[in-house]
Amino acid sequence: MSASRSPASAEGSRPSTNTSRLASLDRSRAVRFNFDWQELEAAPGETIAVALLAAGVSSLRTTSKKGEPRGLFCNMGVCFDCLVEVDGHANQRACQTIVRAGMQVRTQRGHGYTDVAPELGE
Amino acid sequence: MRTPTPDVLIVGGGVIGFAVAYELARRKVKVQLLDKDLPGRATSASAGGLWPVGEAVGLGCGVIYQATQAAKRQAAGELENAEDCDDGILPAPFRDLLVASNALFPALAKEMLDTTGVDMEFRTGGGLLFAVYDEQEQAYVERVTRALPAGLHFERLTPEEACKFEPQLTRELVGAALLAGEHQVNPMLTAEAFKRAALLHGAQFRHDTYVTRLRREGDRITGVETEGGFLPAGIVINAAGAWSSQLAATAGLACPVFPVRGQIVLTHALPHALRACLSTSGCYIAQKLHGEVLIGSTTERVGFDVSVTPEGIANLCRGAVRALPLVRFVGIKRVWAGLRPGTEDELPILGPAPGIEGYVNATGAFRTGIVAAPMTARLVAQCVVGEEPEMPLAPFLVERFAKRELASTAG
Amino acid sequence: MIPRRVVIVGAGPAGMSAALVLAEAGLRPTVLDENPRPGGQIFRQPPEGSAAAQAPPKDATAQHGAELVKRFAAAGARIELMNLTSVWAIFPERRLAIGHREGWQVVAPEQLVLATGAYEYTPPFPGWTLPGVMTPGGAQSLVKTWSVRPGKSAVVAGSGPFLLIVAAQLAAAGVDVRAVVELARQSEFLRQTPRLLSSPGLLFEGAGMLRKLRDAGIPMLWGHVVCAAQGENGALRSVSVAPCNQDGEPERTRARTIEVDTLAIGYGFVPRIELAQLAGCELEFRDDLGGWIPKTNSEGESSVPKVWVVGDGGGVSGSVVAELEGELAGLAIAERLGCLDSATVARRKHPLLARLAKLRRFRLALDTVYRIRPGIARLAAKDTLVCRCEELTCEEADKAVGFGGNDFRTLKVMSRLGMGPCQGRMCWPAMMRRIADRTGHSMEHIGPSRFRPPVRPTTVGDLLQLIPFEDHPEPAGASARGAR
Repeated sequence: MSASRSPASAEGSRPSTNTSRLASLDRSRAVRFNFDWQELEAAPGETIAVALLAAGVSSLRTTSKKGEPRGLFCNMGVCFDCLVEVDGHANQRACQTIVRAGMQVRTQRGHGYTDVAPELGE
Repeated sequence: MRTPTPDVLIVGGGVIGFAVAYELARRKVKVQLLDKDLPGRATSASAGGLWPVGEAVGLGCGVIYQATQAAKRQAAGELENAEDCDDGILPAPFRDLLVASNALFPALAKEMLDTTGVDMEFRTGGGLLFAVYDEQEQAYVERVTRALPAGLHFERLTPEEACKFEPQLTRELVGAALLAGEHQVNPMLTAEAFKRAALLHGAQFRHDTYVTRLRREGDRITGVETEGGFLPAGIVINAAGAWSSQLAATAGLACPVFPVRGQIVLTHALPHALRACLSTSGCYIAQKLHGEVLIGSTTERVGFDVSVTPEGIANLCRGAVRALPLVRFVGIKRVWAGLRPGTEDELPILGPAPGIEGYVNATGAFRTGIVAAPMTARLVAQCVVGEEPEMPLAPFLVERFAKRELASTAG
Repeated sequence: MIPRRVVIVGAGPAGMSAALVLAEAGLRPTVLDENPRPGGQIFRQPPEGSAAAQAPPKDATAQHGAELVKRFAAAGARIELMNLTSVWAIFPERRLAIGHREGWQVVAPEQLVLATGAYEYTPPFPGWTLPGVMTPGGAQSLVKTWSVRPGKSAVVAGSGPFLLIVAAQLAAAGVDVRAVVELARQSEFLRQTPRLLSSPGLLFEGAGMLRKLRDAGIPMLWGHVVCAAQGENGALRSVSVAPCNQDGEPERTRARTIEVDTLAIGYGFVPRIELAQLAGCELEFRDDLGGWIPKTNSEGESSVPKVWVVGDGGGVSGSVVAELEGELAGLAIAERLGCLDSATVARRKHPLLARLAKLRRFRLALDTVYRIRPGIARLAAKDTLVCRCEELTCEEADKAVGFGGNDFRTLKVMSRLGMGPCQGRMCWPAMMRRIADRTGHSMEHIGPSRFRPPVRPTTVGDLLQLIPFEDHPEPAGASARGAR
């Protein structure tokens, strides 16, 4: 079979603009939400996972033991890799949660709930 | 080459069975353990709390049981007021057994880790904190304070002190009691450690082996019948937990153990939010090593039914949210149930039975199987090999039930 | 507790078909689905008002799906549809614990139909947890349903005709598909052509897809596997592809690197059996149907009376079979409940059974070609994570297996494998094959994973109060709390 095709583009990282959308976002209908203290926009009815992917975000959380990044895997709610913190609640599946206006979404670090019992330490 | 007849057959692969196997194998006894993984094994439904004093005075997971019992007795006209029920405070010999057994854990955990590589996850924490919700419970705590000897970690706290000690605790309490010497362990790994240690000392294990009956020849138990045939033994040890009574009955022996179902809720992992284990009349709460919070437990007499129920789970969740408000938003990882081996007087059934040779009880651990396992195993092993038991076995012999019956019919 | 005559869990092709038959027969089935709208995975509906929603269906399957969804919607109030509703436990006597935006409740159906579908099988390999590595279905749904490209370039890998569909759809969406890496061998595919001709339509569809890929210049690498993925800055950068032998073992010396930012990798599908297991259904191991499946008779009734399992959740056979099974079960239940007479049911069953038999011949040929080969259970390196949730390495898991952890429960206690939120869905299909490979034990001996309730995310606060509900009104789009 033929070898791999023309070389990849020079940039290895994702651009931060919305180039992965097949149809450009209708700004008048966009839903504004917050991700890691950054204002982002989603199309109505979009999940957090899709909105973040469209915004160039590939890592949704870091794991507890090894601190490794995880993103979308199954996109259907069975793998529990796409966990983010939504409005303070940890362990929300980004691929199953529809973006609402004003939502506060954070990268989940480990098990999340990092503001629980800071006085006890770890 | 024929396998030599084991000196001892243990029926039942829970923490007690494994611990006894270890203590016997250590003493160079040829021991074989038979187990069938029936649903509802108590060891896998335990919180792993090591609460010797708490359980001995009915402030551990016994609180809920006591409340039910007191209410029942009051309804039956046996009690004027539920407050008059002192049944939660168990006899001193049992408390002594639990305290002594608890004291063995630090060294045991280290020894097991070194020899088997299994970490029991024994961790000392803030202790066991009992949150008092109302005056009735406060009165009970006062009775407990009077009943306990000096030298045991038991301290009364005001609501302010309790909340300072345990910041995530509910503010809606009238007082608290702190038992600082009560810690935690992983019950499954504790059992696994005993099992591996027993194997290392030459014990044999046959899993997936259901014992259908004890074989009795006259006044002697000579072995067991299994689905695969007869297995002879010098001594058979009944460590069958909730199934002990069934097993004993096959030889016409009394062993009054009955299943008490406990439903449990386990949450997803949280950062460490609790200094101590919590106990309330609504539930107990233990945060485990990996951060998961265990909420338990119901105490139901429903035979061998190990299903979880909507009411059971809802009650536990309500109790948890009441005691530890932050838990409301935490995800549930798992709910399940186990069958504790219960006895009427809440004490275990250990040692020989009257009028029968070749049979020893190691059952009826009810709520204290994990904390009692190390000492229970020693006592049973000492009894089997003819050593002087290092603590009195008399309060735990099965004959106490017959004597009590005689006494009540005579008196 | 709310009584119902028939409850169907899952509004995919199988669930919708069963519901339509029952509605037509005069029963009012209750359909529970956790998504905002019906369609399941394969016929998932894009958000209302989106470009994808307005676009016409791109192929015959999508066209058919759109029609089925329309028919389902047209049934209106003759079907009690509860979307954004998940079943998190099954109590004895088929009682379902359901979680809904308003609270939770227990539903007690006379007849319970489980149409829970399947998910994808991806055994572990080095680098598989990197962001940018996903399932083929995940990649497909991004372009098809959500109109978003997963990345700029992709390799589609694994095994199965599904890879061809995904590759074509990604390419059509403007993703630079660098290769399709297929474990199966082209020679075996060609050898099966006579059998595949039993369903000529499907065969030509497949040939058409291969032609599309060739025309797009996308290399089709038969007899190859992705044996590793490499990352940079916490995201996928490239994959290693190698030819493999009959057993699926890669010849690593002949591996080469392809630079991509997306890897869509999957080796077939695994039935979702949580609810069947909780309901007490007897399971059997069928490698050709995705692994552990509930035993059912020809009508779809499981070993537990009044519990029916249809569609991919009862054995992976695709959406066409799923619909037929849904119809069959619907007819059987309608007859059981006295709403249709035996003669009518027998008459309607006949063509369904004939079609199913024909399709099975086709599927048997495909399953032979695309069978799971032992080599892919051996791709993990010592430090590859085999349990994604608990971050357990292959070395740690193998050690526990060596110490007697040869079944799910024992291995879980010893190593924490399967203790995470996915409850073993992601790790057990691969781990059980790995255990079989190393110990020689049969799958029956090793056994399935054991699901414990809740099998859907539920918080402590969700369970405080049982909320009474009667007839649920038709939902007016996504709720304020969103999907659970």
